[in-house]
Amino acid sequence: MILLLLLLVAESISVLSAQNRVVSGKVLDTQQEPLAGVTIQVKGTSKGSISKADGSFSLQVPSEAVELNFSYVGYLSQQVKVTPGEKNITVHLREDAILLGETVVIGYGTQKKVNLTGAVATVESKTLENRASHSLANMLQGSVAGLNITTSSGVPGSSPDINVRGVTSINGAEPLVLVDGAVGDLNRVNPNDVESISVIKDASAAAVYGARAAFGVILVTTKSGSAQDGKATVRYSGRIGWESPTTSTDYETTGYWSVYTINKFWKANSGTLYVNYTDHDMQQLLARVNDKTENPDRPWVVEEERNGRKQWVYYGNYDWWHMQYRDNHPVQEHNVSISGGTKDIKYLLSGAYDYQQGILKANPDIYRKYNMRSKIDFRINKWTTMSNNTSFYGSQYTFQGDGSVENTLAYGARHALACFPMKNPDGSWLYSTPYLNYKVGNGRHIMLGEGSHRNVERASDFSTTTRLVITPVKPLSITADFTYRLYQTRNTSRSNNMYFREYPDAELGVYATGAGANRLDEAVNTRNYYSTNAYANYDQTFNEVHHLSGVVGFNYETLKRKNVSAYGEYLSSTTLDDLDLVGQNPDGETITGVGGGQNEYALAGFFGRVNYDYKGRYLFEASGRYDGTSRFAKGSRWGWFPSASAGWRISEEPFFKPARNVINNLKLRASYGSLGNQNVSSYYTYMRLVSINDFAGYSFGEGSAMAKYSTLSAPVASDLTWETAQQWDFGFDLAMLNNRLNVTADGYVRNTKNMLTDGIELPAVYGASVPQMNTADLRTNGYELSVTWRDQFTVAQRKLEYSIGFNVSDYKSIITRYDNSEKTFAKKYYKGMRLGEIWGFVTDGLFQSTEEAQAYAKKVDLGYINKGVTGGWQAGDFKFVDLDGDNILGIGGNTVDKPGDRKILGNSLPSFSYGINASVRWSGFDASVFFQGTGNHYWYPTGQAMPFWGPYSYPYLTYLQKDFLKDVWAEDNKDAYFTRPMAYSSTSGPLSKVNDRYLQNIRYLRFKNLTVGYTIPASLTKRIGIDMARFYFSGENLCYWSPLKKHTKYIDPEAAIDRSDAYNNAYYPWQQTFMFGVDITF
Amino acid sequence: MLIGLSACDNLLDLQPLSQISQTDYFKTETDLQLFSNSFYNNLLDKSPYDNQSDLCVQQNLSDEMLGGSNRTVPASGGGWSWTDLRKMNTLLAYADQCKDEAAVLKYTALTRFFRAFFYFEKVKRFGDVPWYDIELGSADEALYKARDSRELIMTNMIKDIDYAIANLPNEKEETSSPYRVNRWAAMALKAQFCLYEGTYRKYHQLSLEGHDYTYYLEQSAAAAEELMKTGPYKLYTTGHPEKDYLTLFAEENANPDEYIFAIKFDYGLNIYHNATAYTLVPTQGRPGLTRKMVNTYLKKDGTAFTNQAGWQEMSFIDEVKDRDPRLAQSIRTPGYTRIGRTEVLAPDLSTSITGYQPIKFVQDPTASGGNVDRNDRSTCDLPVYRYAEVLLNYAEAKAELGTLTQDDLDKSINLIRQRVGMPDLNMSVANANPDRYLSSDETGYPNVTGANKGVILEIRRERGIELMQEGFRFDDLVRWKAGHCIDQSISGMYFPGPGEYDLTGDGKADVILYAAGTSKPIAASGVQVYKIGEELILSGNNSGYISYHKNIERTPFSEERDYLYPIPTNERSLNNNLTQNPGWKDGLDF
Repeated sequence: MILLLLLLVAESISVLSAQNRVVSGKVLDTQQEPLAGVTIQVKGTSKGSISKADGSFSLQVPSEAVELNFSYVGYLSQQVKVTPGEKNITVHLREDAILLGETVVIGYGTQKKVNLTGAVATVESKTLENRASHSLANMLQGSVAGLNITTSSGVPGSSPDINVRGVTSINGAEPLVLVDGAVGDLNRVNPNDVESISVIKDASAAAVYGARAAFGVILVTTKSGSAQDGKATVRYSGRIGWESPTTSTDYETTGYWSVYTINKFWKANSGTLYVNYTDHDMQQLLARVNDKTENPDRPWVVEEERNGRKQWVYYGNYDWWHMQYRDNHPVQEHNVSISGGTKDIKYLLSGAYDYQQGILKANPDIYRKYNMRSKIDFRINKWTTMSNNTSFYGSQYTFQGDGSVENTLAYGARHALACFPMKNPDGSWLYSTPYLNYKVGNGRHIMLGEGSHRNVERASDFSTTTRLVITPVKPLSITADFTYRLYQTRNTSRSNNMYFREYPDAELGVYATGAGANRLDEAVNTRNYYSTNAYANYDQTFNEVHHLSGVVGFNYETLKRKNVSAYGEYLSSTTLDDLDLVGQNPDGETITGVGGGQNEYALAGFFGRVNYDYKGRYLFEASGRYDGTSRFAKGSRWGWFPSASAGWRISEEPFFKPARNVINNLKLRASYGSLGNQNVSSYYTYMRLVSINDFAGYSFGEGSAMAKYSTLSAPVASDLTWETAQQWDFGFDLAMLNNRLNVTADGYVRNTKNMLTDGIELPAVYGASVPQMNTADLRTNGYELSVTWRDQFTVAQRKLEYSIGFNVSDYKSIITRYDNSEKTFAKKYYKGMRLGEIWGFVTDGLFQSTEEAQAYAKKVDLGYINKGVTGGWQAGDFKFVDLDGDNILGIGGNTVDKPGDRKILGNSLPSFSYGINASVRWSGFDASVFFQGTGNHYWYPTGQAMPFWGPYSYPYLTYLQKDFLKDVWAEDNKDAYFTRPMAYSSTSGPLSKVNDRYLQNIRYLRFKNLTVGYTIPASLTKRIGIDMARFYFSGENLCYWSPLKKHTKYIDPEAAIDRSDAYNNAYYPWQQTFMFGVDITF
Repeated sequence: MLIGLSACDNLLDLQPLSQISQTDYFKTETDLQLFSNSFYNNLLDKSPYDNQSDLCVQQNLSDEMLGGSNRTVPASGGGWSWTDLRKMNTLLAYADQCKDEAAVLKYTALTRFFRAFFYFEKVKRFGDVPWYDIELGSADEALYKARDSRELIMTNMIKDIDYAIANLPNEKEETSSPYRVNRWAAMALKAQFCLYEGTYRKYHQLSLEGHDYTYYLEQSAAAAEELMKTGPYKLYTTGHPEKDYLTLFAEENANPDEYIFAIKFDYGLNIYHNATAYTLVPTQGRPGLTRKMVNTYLKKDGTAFTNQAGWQEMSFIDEVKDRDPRLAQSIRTPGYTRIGRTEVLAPDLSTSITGYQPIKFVQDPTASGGNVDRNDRSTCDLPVYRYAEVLLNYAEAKAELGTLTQDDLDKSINLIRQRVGMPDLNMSVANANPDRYLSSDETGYPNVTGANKGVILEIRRERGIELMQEGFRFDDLVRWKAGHCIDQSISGMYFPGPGEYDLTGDGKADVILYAAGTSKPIAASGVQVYKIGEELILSGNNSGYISYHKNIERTPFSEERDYLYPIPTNERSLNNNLTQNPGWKDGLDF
């Protein structure tokens, strides 16, 4: 393959020999200014030159007539024929009108980029191509300043969290995503279908979307067919590769160190042993500590008579992670599209298939995704076009386990020490052993190994939009569209009895309740979405200087959601999963259950926008929307959201002319707008509702079903209404040095008013969830900056194009109103609070002697934090500083003004998010790199985060860090990072008190993507009818740098988040991807 | 435009499709019943059998048993939950939307029963607590009020329970089962909480404005007496003193004669508790009765075991001979067989941390489809209130009041004793010679005084034995101000040294102990072999009582702190008027 490529290259750069002459001349722009750095190339050869600072050039050409190609970034390329006699030519290059005329998709229309007055960033399809990431959202990470994408899970097919401009509301609102004008989902769009993405960040540009746009809008526009005289363009792109975890999976695999470490921690807490092994047993383990595989002289499982019974004693060195999970797992993707058309009919058809295997080893988890899209445009007559855009998405994730794959990992992360095998010598599963008060791996390895716990999560999404555009008179066009979207999730989850053996001579035991029940659950959740838009666009220029455009329209949409679920137990088959197979329990009863639920919402809005500019120099825009939603009570339902913006293209001013050599474009922008957020938690927030439920396990002995009970939803405030986000934005767009350098910068202030909060925290005696009220305000200040540099020069007589880009954003959010005048920490917020601030204790190292510790404990009352400090304060405990000097370590008044011995240690929100990309293209070769990262932000690991705390958390973790004891304080290890051994310290002991010693800075820089490709010269591929053929390698998430690495190599900084409860025990690792791909167009 | 707008507004008027709005609810008896059903599920203790105390312990001691820094102030939770109270007050506020007046009365009474039940739990845990009998609004000043005196709470609880007694169905048949609350259950609750309050005030020498302790003891005795006189209950007996006690708790269904109120468990519905596996499976806690507890069982002739010579260092076989028949129905003793089986089982020292392996609530091995020995597969119903407890409450209230007569004993304690074939308790004999074991500092209650000292100690003995594993002990210690009992030694069976031991009385060794440093003896199959000091820890080096917990650090019970639980930190921060219970360090400086 490589050899072939080299041959092709060699052929393409082979030089034709001819007689030579010299042609010289000058390259100027339309203003008669010289252009330096213009690439001049002799057509059909590899010969070329570059213009000098004064625009002059000279190069050798064959004596016959030749054609010279002049190209320069930001200017239109020009071909100039040079007759045999010509020696001196002057060439004028025009600025690239396309660049200037570049249009951007905005709400209900498009606009020239130069005329934009709002903060809108665009991402072109080029940026997305070849990224070895599975979802569009992931590909956007780091590509737009102020668009924050955080991966929330490593599970195949999971979707990341998206927000525009940081913390939007304490209710955590997400931006509105519209795909070709209809509400959609970024993860369900085929990335190859995307033509462009507009990210609308400020209020003015988003105002036409009113009540849903408070926190940004992302407009995805898909590709369409184009008129090419009926010729069809077929494009195939496919790639294949593998994924592996971004973090280490190198855990402790020796039985001896695993048992030794965990018993040590356990004993420190309870005085007893966790694994009931005697000294003799420990010696046996030690004898095998270096055995990588079982030595016949030292078997890993020994059968012995103990306590009157035959028993298996386990002395192995087992790698539980790699027995259940694998590091490398295959992935592949295929895409085909056909497009074309004539003047009157254009079409595009595309299909994609994505196949990923996950980490599960014995029965791999598999994620499949299908995308199809069909777009057709008809020109019915001179003034009417009709189009249809239909897409289908389907996905299916199959995995083994209980509930979710994350749940299975989390619960399997306990009690399976390296000394234990998965199976006993007789082939039965190991689950219960007399040496353990707990169940090995909670039996999760049995589920994974047997393949008896089958889960399928299916999602499908069908969407069709039909649009009619009428252009009755030139400046006016009227658009009407209707979208129907049907999307559904269908989940199936099967569990079965699990069998195990505890003693060699015992019968098989059965795990038959809870996760081990013979049970099938099925659930279908169907959503029907309808939306319709009708709007009129107007665009006219008067006297060549006054340009007026605008849109008015109406939008209505409604969503109905319906759930149906059912379960049955005692199925007649262990391998087939269907509710028809539900049998009877031993009492002859049929155990089944059903569930339902449905709800709906509707939205309606009237919107309008007016744009005016004078000579493209002074730009004005005003827009607004009157919006209503069913989610609020009559009277609080409608809201008016206006906005306005203005721009000044200084570079168009006559006085600016002298500077235009250097500065090609400079525009100042300002905008202000007010937007709503109707995304409150429930569809009927203003009503109190009664639900009827089945008890999970309660009966009055009446009938053969669980008893039912009713509950009343929490109290509500009747006058709930929108949250409103008022946003100021100031920015500039700058292009200079012949458009090679482009800078866009924005600063903004956003006041989110009347946030719906859980009102105020109320004392528990209230006895219900606190009613939501519009009672909090938040101010976010932030900025965004993006800089790109594009240029080209000639290397080895071939054009080398390169670009480098950098974007950065930062923000700070402060609560400006909240009902907490006493500023107590018992409420979530207080006025003046910066979101994300972490309060905690200050520490001063570890006590190096027990005398020191006791003397300190005598001086300072440490009663507040002594939970689990067995044997009193001693050497190896850490010293909490009595910050307020009252000789009591405590939390004072638990208020900001009297925080006791706590202070702000850091902030959990990323302070500085950035992306860096660079690309280079030369002679068919292309390469690009992309880095992404954040500045300081902090994380205090949750108590249950075993990958960080190890046995300081729940001491019986399965995935014990390798060589963990080197970080544990001991008389001979006084510089250790962690305290003396203390089980549960991080969940309820001293380590659970947030403090500076164990606070982690999780800033990171990630080598996000590397792509290297080669395009075979068209001259060669055309011979076999291929327009373009490119081969490439792309790697995603290649590596990262982070201070977190110093203390754990098992947690990806992006995975350093607080999950719900046990899910912190272990998580599905974040993945890196390596892919080889081909892209062919014919 | 305006027409368009109002048309749109109608489009936006969407009503719930799968839920009922509050105003359309509480209209039928079914509505009231469904709404009150959650009180049962939420409030009743479904695992009373695994509570730890000085009488019964597990391998891992509870925080209460460990004491000191193992007990801390939580940030939130910690028993300070009020959700169910709100539901009760909601029901009481809306009940009259129902036109069926009988139903309104019945469910109002039921709800007030549960409100008293709810507040009893709160008072036991926290002492003074705020009283609320309305659905609180989010702006209510009352949210921030200080704690009300337990006197106010108790007075209101008595009002609630008296209403419940007057209005709940009075015929057992009406409720068709012991699984729903009837007026007798309300009387049982009243007898229980009034006894608690009376004795608490007496022993903690708490005198509050309002009623004194005698008032509550009188209320308790009166409620118990009314139940005894008018109620349809009696002790379960088939005339087999050697097994009736054990059978009662292992029966699949609550015994309608003795169980006044019970929780239903059901194999077919997969509603289980864990009592059987708890005592049989070595991973479920390894519970064991303490030696101190076992010593309190009388000899079969009614004399104290601890009054005979040599009782301290008897072998297991000898010490359990000729005792109160309930001993053999509470732990494995020689000749023990599972209900429904004939195989004799020795106590399993690896499953019971003291060797005194409990057998109460252990079901027939064929129960639960033969799965009863597996975790969480027990299906015998659990008692909430049973008649024997009412009798014990009656005798104790009367004794503490000083109004107890032999006649009272004959219609209460002595019925319980007769069921198991024990001689009657004689009041004057008991008072003439109060039991030394039960009044000593090391093993008893030195703070019991007065003319009835002897009979009170005997009633306490009886209570400990009869209500074993039913969840009463820790509360009893609190109300008797006997926290020091927690600190009394936790030990088990006696072993004079390495050697072979017969625990079943068949003359064959069941357990072999060997000393560290000696080689492991060869043993027949089924014989338990333990290395002293490692696999079996004794109080002495190579001999003594099983003392599994001897090396575990415990902090003595704090008389100043540990009778009450702490108020969570966040709650005090949100409401500065809430005072912390004495001795608790919550880090707050107010």
